[in-house]
Amino acid sequence: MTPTAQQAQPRAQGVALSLRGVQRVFAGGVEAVAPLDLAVDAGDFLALLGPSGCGKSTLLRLIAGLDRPDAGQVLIDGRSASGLIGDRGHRVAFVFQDAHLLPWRSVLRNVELPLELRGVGKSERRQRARAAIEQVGLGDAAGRYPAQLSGGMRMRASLARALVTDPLLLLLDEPFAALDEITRHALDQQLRQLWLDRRMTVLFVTHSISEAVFLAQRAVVLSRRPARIVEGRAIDLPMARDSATRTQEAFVREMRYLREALERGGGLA
Amino acid sequence: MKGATLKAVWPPATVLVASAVAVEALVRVGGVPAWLLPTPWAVTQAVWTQWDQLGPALGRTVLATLMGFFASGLVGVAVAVALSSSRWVQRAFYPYAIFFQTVPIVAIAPLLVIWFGYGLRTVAVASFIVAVFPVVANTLNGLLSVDPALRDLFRLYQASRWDALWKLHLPAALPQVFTGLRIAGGLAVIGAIVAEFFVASGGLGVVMQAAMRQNRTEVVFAAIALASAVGLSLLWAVNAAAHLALRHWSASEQGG
Repeated sequence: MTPTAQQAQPRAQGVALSLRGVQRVFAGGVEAVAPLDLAVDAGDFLALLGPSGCGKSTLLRLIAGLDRPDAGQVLIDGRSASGLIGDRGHRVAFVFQDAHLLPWRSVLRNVELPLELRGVGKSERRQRARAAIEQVGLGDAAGRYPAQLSGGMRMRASLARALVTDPLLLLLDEPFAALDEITRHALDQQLRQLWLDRRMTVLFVTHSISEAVFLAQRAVVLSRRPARIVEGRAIDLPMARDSATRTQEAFVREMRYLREALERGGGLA
Repeated sequence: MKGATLKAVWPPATVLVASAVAVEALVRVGGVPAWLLPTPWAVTQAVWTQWDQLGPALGRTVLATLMGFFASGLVGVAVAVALSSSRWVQRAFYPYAIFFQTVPIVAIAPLLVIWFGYGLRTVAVASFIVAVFPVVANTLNGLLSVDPALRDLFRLYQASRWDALWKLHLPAALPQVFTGLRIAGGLAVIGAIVAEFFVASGGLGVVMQAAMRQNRTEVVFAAIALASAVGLSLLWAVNAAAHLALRHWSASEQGG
């Protein structure tokens, strides 16, 4: 991003991320992530696109500090990710493939959880949780329990739980993969809007080419396991995107480009 | 709710009445002597006529059973939490927890009498020893099978060990805790009755032995019926508590 372009947009709220020679080998010698370099600017929206089982989820866990690389370094804002996990000011949020809500808590209390664990007072966390729930469009379901919600609503609640801490880095691991297409498109649209409003750094793991194109500013295509980078591409689409964007020529062109990159990485074999 | 309760009660009640009538008829027609197999009616009557003896005995057995049951619940969950705290602790201590399941209570009852005397304390301890293992085993299973993604979530948000225990592990293990308690309820009654045979200071076990020596088989049956009523009531109470505690967990439990 050029300096002039940066000035035209809202100030980036996110943190920069860099991976240097990051490698992960599981017990038994299976290499999940090949030594890999990646730099993400503060406030960027990056899609990590790769075939199923290619190691992209492992990569995301390494970035979150939930797993340690066998070689190399993950740096968030210049500091090591594994050292940050015990840090109270550490604002990284993670959205899993399924909603993973606590079934014994209402939506409101699920969304409050991250603040509660960090010792935020009751009235403040309630207020912030309500705001996050409103933002994902779940306002009238705050008092309901996960078992009473549809899959899409549960995912919205999970998204609200991630947003409630005002993360500087938001990591999403195929969050909408299990949803029907209509719900998925609605949530893609909402996530894109949330990013435009907040400009945190977002890493979005997906195996859907169209989802990567619709959501991201930049897409990185990964090969089959062990994951290495086949291609990094800036998505050439306007900032504001809606359902009409999906049928535009530029959208189709970007999809074709990423598909070819996936093929080169052996992802479509 | 009312309709559902009736639906749950009717079929077993019908079976109970029908089988009682059948046994009654068989015993009367076949001329089976009362000391061998009393009629269900004679047993029912014995509950009333012998209430002076059965009532206080029931009270003692209930008291010992409840003490054993609650102790097994508290200690069982606490032991499971301790065992789940590290792999090493689990490997080192779990075999000794299994001891409580494999040791026959009849074999150690004399020891318990030596240690705890001829009284309620021994009966409660025996009830506890028999009931505690299923609580430990099921709770441990629940604690160890907590969703790994939720563990990660708690780590990511820097949850303390205490918060992780109270806000994640224990609530997540609740269904298995209740499974353990359901089994423990029935076992607690068995432990109490067996210990009463040895302690002989009162309770349904003592009534059973005395009635057996006097050939009053209908009283033995009456005591058995009351003992199983204690077990069933305990099971019902655990189910009610589970229903209340887990009412939000699944869509099928809604409106309970």
